Amino acid sequence: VSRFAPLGDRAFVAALPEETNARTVYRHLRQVPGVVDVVITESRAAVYGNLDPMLAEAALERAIAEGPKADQDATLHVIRVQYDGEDLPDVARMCGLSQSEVIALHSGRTYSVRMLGFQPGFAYLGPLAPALVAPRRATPRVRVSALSIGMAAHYTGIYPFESSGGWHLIGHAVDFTPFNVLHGATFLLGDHVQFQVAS
Amino acid sequence: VTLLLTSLSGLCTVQDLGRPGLMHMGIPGGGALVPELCARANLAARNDPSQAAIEVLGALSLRAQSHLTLGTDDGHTRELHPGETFVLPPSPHVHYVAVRGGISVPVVLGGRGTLLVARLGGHHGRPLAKGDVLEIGKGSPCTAPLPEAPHTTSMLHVLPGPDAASFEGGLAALTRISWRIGLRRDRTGVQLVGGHLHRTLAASTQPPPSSAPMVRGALQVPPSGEPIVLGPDHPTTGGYPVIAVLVSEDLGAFFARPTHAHVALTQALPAQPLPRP
Repeated sequence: VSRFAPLGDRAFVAALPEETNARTVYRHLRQVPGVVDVVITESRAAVYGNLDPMLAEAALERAIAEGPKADQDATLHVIRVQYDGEDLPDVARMCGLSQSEVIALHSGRTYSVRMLGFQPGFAYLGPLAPALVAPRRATPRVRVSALSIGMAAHYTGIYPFESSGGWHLIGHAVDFTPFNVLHGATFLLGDHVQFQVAS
Repeated sequence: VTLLLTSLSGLCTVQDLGRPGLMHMGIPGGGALVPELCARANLAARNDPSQAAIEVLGALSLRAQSHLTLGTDDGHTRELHPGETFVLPPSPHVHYVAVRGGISVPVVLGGRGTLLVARLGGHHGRPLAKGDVLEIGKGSPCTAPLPEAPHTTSMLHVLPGPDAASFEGGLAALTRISWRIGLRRDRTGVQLVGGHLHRTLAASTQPPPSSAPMVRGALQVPPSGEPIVLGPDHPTTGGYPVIAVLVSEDLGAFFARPTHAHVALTQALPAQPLPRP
């Protein structure tokens, strides 16, 4: 039985076993003949193009066999943050913490890029400290400014462009370019990210 | 060689055949809503079909500032003398206007098309506006025959999506309803109206699924029960269940349908799998 099921007639999608290294999966699937695009989320991988799903299957098996070990070429990004987001008081109240505790927890760990999506260059960073896990806002904002740092569920992330958005805004990134027209996204799948309080 | 946009309404953008290969960065494939029509306009202007052209969802008038050859998606070619005006009257249909030599905008991340969500590509990453002056390029001529326009019948074919079984009645619930193109439409997606789809009790009591990879033509169903058909600028991932996916052959025909047009979805026969060697 193939792990890959059709997603229309030009793509296939597979459920990923837990403990799979997403970057390894990406690297293997990219090499499948006929693959034009690869999208990896927390639980699924999709390949796009005119391709034989059996070859994608074999590539995925090879990636799974490599195990969860981290790729050596993941980049560490250190991002300076002004923790001045308008939802910071709400987040603190929801989590039963002071604002400075929220900031300490948010800036006190190394995240990895779990997936990209929603917007060009938008990276879902996780996992968030368990004490900070809170649902999305009941009513999404129509306008979230670029470089805003949001958090919801087990994720935090930086909005690369002004857009609508439903995450709690706790601050904004300083001197950071999440997306550029030469190379595209700054954060790539599996990269590591640390937040540093900007003084 | 330039042209001046003298009046515009709706959404007009510079588009080409897209920028494939970057979905892992969250960058959708993009490109013309109806690539077949964009290619027709280009070939009518004796351009290679990959040249950038103007996609018009609304109306547009332009004035030639030098001698120009225009091609439109109806297959017509028009010569404009300096100072002459061309008018594309208001239309509920998407139209394309190409100019011999191509609209000259920089290639950004492998494409010339406008990606509005990222403010990149096309004319400064934004919709065209009255008063814009567009440079015309020097693309080499192409004399290939005009491709056919997409069919205009309402019957469009879908394949079951990954989440079809999580809806009451499965795919049949979708194909039974007589849908129309809704008012909520842009380059990221088109809403279908005319009915509501319901999750099975088992699916609706489970925690929402985590984000899944998306594809152009996927019918995502938000809690309202009215499906959204993902367009060329769709987010690469999404959290709503996918009941079905339009077959690639019918994508152009679907996105060419105007607001309020009838859409009859029918299940496509699955493609024959490749024989295992």
